Amino acid sequence: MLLGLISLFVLSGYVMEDPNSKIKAIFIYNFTKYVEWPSDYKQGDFVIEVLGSAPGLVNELTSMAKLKKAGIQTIVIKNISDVGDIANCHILYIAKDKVDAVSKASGKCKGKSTLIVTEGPGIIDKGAGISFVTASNKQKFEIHQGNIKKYNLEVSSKLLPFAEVVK
Amino acid sequence: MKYIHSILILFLFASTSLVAQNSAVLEAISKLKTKEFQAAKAKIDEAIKNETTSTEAKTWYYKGAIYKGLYKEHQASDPKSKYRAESVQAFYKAIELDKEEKYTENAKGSLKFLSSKYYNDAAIALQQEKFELSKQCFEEYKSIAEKLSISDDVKTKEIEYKLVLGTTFTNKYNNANEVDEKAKYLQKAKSSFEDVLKVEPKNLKANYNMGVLYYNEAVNIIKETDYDLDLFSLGEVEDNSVELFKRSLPYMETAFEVDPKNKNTIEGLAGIYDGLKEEAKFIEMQKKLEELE
Repeated sequence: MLLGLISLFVLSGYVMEDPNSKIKAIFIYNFTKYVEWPSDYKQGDFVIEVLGSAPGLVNELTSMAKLKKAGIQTIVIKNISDVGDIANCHILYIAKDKVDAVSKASGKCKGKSTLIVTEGPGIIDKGAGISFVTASNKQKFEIHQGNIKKYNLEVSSKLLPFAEVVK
Repeated sequence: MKYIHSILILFLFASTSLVAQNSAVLEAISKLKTKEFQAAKAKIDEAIKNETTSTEAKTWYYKGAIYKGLYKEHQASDPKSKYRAESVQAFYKAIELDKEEKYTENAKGSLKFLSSKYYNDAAIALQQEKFELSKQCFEEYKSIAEKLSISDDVKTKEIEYKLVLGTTFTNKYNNANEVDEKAKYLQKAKSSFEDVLKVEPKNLKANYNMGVLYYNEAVNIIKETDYDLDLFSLGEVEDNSVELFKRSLPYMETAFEVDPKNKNTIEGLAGIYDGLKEEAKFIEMQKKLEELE
């Protein structure tokens, strides 16, 4: 009588992960180093607001905020669902489901020093400073220097070589 | 007259010797019937040393039977049993010498029994994580089964065994803390599943598990990356993970091809397409998942 081995067999542990959110979080943390905010934005908390549904990214940014600081500032992550909720933040990330609201959001940020980051090709033409895109299976970004400067922000030339498109 | 007398004495001596040796085999058989295995062993070992009886299939067949008895009585729980190993060799020799095929069928029956014991020992050793011992026992099982030409059985059992081995190594890999240890078990897990794919290229579980192993490797590279990694190094991390996602893909695609309604494989494919940032294919898989629910 042969002993059965089948009962021992289980499928290897596969857990659906979201590696792209981690990569985006690393990019965003790098943006905090390559973008210069005015002096009055260098005190208090460093606020990153996520507009729309991006649970993976919110989780990653929250994990990042527990471990890292933006210079000497504590990073605070806020998830908002409406353009009307946009407050005084350093970075506004507009998730894919709210991309149509980029123009409205950039209007809402007028007079503030907010770096608007979103995702999708060509979105920088609608007012965003940086937009994540993909190329050759990798995470890339497009950057619009004019849109960044409009909010009284300075972008380091060291960031530009990593961008897929520079405007 | 004196010459004839000498020949007669010589003939009588030879006959007596032959009878004595045959009687050793007969005594061994007699002791075997009463399950006096040690006494039977002494007699059959004696017969094996004799030039005449050692060429007879009968002698080897009974050696196999006696050693099998000894194994069952004294070493049944010993995966390294020498009695079992000697029994196997004796049955092989019996089959080789048995031109009239008087003992072959029974010898094969006994070999099949002994091979099943090797397989069971391989399974037990595997459960106890004695991997080398398990492998040795499995190879003994496989060798016997192949000689008996029960190839279908060997194929099925090899697939079953290597799948369990691969899963066991995967669990060891997942639970290991040291980098070297993790790498060792990952390699062993992959090697076990690859062995299955050599025998059965479209095996669902082996393909799925290979896909998951590469997928997890790709994801882990990213998960372990520090948030303040510079963008140049991040590009290198992404290159490595993309390479692993690409290696994962053909295995998961094969698993999907074999079982297109399997939730695990669809989830696996969705994860890989997401890792490769192939959004349209990722959405297609998400739709398939929704259809299943």
